[in-house]
Amino acid sequence: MSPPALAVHNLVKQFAGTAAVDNVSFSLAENEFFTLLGPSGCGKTTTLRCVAGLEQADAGEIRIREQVVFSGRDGVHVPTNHRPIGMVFQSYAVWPHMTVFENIAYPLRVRGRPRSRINDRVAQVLQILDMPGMASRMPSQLSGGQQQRVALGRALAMNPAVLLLDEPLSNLDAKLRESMRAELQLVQRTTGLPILYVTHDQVEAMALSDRIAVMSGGRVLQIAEPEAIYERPSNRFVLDFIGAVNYLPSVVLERSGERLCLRAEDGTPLTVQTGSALESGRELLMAVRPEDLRLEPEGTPCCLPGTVALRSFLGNALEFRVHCHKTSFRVQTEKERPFQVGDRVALRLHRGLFLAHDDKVVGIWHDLENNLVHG
Amino acid sequence: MSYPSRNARPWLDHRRAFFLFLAVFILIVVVYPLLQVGVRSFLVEGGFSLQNYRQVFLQPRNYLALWNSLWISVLATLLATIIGMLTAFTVQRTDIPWKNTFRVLLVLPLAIPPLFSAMGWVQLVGPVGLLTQAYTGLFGVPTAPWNIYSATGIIFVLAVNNYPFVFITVSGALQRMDSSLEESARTSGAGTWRIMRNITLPLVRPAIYGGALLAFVSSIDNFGIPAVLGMRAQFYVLTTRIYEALTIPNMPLATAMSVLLILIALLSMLAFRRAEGHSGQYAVVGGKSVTPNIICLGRGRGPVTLGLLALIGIIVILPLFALVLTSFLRFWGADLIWDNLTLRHYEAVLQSAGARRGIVNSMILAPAAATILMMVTAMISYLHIKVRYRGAGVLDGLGIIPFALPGSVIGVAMILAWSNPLFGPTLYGTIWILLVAYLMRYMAFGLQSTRATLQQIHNSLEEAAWTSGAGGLRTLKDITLPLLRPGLVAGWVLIFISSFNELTVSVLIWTSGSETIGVWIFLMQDSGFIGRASALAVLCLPVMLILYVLMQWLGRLEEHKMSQKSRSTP
Repeated sequence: MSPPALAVHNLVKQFAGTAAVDNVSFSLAENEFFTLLGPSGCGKTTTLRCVAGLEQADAGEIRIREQVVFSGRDGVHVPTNHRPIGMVFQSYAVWPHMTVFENIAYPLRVRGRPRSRINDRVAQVLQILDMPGMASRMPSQLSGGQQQRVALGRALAMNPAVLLLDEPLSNLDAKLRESMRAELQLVQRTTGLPILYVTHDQVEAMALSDRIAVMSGGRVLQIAEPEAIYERPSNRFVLDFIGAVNYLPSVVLERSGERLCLRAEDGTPLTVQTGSALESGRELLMAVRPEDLRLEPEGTPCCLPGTVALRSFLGNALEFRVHCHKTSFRVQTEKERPFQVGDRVALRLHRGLFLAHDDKVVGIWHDLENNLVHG
Repeated sequence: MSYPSRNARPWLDHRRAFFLFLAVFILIVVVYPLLQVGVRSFLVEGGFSLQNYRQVFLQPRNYLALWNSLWISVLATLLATIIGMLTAFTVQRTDIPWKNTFRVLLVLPLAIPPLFSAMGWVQLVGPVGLLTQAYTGLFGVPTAPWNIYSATGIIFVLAVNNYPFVFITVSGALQRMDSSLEESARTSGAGTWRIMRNITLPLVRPAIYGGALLAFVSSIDNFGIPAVLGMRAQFYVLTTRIYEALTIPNMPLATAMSVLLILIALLSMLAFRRAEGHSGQYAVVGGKSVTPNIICLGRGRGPVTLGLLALIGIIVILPLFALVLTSFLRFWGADLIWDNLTLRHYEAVLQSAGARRGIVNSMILAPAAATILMMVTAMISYLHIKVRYRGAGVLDGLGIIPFALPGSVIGVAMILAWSNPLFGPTLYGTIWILLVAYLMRYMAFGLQSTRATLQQIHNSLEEAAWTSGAGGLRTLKDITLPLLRPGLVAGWVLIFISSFNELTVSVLIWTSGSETIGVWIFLMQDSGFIGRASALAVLCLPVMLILYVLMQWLGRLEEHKMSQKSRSTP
């Protein structure tokens, strides 16, 4: 196996005594699109800036292609301009006093490349970015999306060992963001550069990444492929942060062999097959994603009875808000469901279910209908 | 390759070296002279004493000057605020034509030194002034029912010189106001006048106070106007009294009065801050959609436009016209006939060695002060804003102080600090004392323009250069300096104009050989050579007007660039 393009070990960075980055470790393979995902203040941007050398970490180690660029123990801190990186900033940071060509050529010029090679490389980058004929434009003549591409081109120009992207799409409007997302994927496929990507947008992270590290409070909570993050969250925070989820407080009634009997807050009983050891009397949260619930006509057995409070048309789906006893559920269904606001309905668990206790996820089912012993 | 970590830096790295250099500069230029004023005002023959202050409050002519300064400035500020508000509202919020022309013309008084303005008004409505002669001729009376050599005259001329401060701040606030604030009042059912009264006026109130403070400080600070209009009538204010005390010379008295001027400046600033605080700080800036609440004047549009034109004609154009006319008249008050026109004042001025020295000195001092200040303040602001060097903020704070001080104080401080200095050369008696004085007086201009520009330069623009492989110096040269250039140029021009126009300080510290143009004009005016004084003033006017237009143009250019910049770095 080839050495990682980027390896971060036990990184710690404190601001005024509080740890912004708390013992973070991860590594990127060549060609990998790796995303740090988390809410604002989770330490993802600080981690990225430590990799870039814009912040000096307090402890840990950072290696880029086996070269140590930071080591707390050995007192190594390679200045940003000596690290083999390219970076795209949230604010684009395209220099307003330079043309598109000068912006993209800058990393090459700084390193004293010959003029002819600079011209070739900039032309090549403009080709990759699909911006031919824009070389002599000033940034002020470009749209936000085009400026973002110039920023990306500047980061690509040197063929860096790793490409760092700090929320590059968050300043674009929704439509443009989607097309830039596709473009980023294409660029990565073309160039094969390893990318360290920072975002708070889980949809973006899912769509783009080979692997995602979910961060909170300066710590990495889970590192996995997007599917795994969504379907097998390792803890309550990840479950909560990724996708939407409905909670229903419940209690373990009894456990007999492989069977677990639960009772929801409103009295609805549920029995599932399980391997996990949960003693009776334990208080839990049942967690269900909106698309894992189904609406049935009133009176359907094995279902929670409720009333439709809101109905919204999402284009590709319908979303309902259903009041059941003390809890309100978000339910996403295919468009054909005939229910209207005010209808009495029944909610059926039909695919996935999570059981959460404190900040842990203690049970996960994805083919619930086969495991449901009795509703 | 191995790199040392940050902890391994030597004690005197380049940042600290820069900081120490700048700290020494601020200490010498700002702190040392101010300490001299404070300490010396309490010193009598080497011991602590309140004798100097007793001198101020025991002699009526001294405390009267203090009192005069106060009430004159208050009334002048009131009048200036009324003119400034009326003109600002008329230009920004009615449908009068030629708004851009009016905006330029209405701030023109800022380009004209107050001394010139005072001279022009004397030549217009003085004892043998143009309007006075016209009036007495028309009505067949021996004298006109007004007297420009009076407190009223001083108040009036101060007001017509200082109203642009209020005009600028209030029109700025009116322009930047989020129009949705007014629109929501309209959708709530309020009419145009009601919106003005209940929404617009309260929202621009902080701007009114801000402009009024500038007008007030500028009135307290002014020397040229009370010198030309008051000294003849034995009517003294603090600045002219300090001037008089220094010609005797009574240094301890001047020092004590300077401290009193500092106190007045500080108190007035506190008072305005309080008033501003009570009026509330609203976030009214930020609206991009500028479709303001415009009052349609209807049939009143013509008369209002004419009125505004007349106002500009009277307070801006007429005194300048009188100045130009006087410079060509055989003697002041001569009849306006062809035979009385002459160029001899111009010949006399250009042949006078003193006047020529003044021109040369001003041409050396103004660019020197502007260049030195922009270099030093750019470094201070860079350490403060970008490097976030601890202590640079203190330098910035110290450098701003002289901006709040009346010029007379700075003049006295300069004499105390440099006529018999604790260290270094005796600058008093050379033109270099004027240079140090200008450095002190206008440091704030440089700090403000470089600080504002650097704050606009998003940190990521420099970080992008580092991640592109550029080192610190390379980044400074390729990214930071080019982006800072508009601020540097704007600050330079502002300091140049201000130094070129400076009189309040210069008139206190000039010595034979170190005259400036302003000093020379004042001296000629003061000793009765009205024609020559006017001729030299007229020679200066084009320079000042051109520079002023240049500054306005640069400002607009920068605004334009900034709007582009903000688009590229949201």
